[in-house]
Amino acid sequence: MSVLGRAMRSAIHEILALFIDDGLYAFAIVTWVTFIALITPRLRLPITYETPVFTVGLLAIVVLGVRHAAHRIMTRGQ
Amino acid sequence: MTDWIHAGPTVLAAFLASFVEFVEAFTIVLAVGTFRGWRSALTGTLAAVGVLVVLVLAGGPALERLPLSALRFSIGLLLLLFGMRWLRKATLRAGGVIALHDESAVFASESLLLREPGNIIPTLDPAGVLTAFNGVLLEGLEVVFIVIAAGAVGHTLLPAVFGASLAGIIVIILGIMFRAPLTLVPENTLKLTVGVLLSAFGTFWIGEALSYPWPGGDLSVIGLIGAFLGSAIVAITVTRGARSSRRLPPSTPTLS
Repeated sequence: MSVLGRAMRSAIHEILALFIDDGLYAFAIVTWVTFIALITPRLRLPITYETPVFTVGLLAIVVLGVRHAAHRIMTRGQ
Repeated sequence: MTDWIHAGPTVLAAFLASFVEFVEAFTIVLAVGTFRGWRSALTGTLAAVGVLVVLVLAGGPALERLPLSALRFSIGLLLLLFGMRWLRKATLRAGGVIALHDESAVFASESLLLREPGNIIPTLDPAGVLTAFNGVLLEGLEVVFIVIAAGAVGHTLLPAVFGASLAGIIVIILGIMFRAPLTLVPENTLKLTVGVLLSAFGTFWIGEALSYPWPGGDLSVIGLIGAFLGSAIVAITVTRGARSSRRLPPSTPTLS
C-alpha cells in the first residue's frame, strides 16, 4: 500500500473512531433510530407517544450499554 | 428567546468539549516542546490549527446549504453516536470500571518516545513537528465536529466557535502559567457533561427531522438533558453496585 493510501486509511480509521468505539453499542443506537424513523410511522402510534418512546429507547441503550460493557470488562479482569 | 435557548447549550457544549480536547492537545505539545524544541512544537501546532480552521470554514457554511430535515437527521445521528460514546465511557470511568485519564501519564509516555540523548534540537525537527501536528489535529477534529454539528443545525455556528475559542485561550493561558500537564482539570466530569449535552441535542434534532411534537418546543432540550443525566446516574449506580459486589480493586489511571 502506498504512503498516501496508508495515510488515507489511518485518517478514515481516526474519523470513524470519533463515533464508534464499541460496535454493538453503536449498532444499537443506529438500529433504534432507523426503527423509529422507518417502522413506527407504520404502527400508527398516537402522536403523543412517539417522542417518549424514542427518548426512553435511547436512555435504555445508555444504561444497558454501560451495564453490558461493565460486565464484559469486569469478567475479563477477574 | 429561541436564539438563547439554542445558543446557550451550544456555547456550553463547545466550550466544555473543547476544553477537554485542548488540555489533551496541550499535553502533547508540551512534551514535544520540552524534549524536541519549541520551534518544532509550535510549527506542528500552527499547521494543524490551519487545517482545522479550513475544515470549519469549509464545513460549516456547506452544511447550512443542505436541506434542513436531512441535515437535522444526519447530524442528529452523528451527535447521538458521538455524545453517547462519550457518555458511556465517562460513566464507566465514574463507576470505577475503567481507569481515569491521566495527563501526567500521557506526558511521561510522550516524553519517553520523544526523548533522545543530547540537547534539545534547536532547528526544526521532523519527528517533533509531526507529533505536535498529529496530536493537535486528532484532538482538534473532535472540537471541529462539535462546533460544526452543534452550530450549523441550530444556526449557532458563531456562538459555538466563540465557546471553543474561549476554551482554547483559557487552556493556553493556564499552560503558559504552569508549564506542566494540566492534571487538576476534572476531565471525566467535563466529558460526562458534554456527553449528556450532545446526546440531548442529537435526540432533539432527530425528533425535529421526524416532525415529532416536542412538549414545550425548544425548552424540551432541557428536559432531555435532565433525562440523559438521570440515565447516566442510574448507569453509574448500577456499575458501582456490580463492582462492589465483586470486590474489585480500584482501576489505575490510563493514557487513553
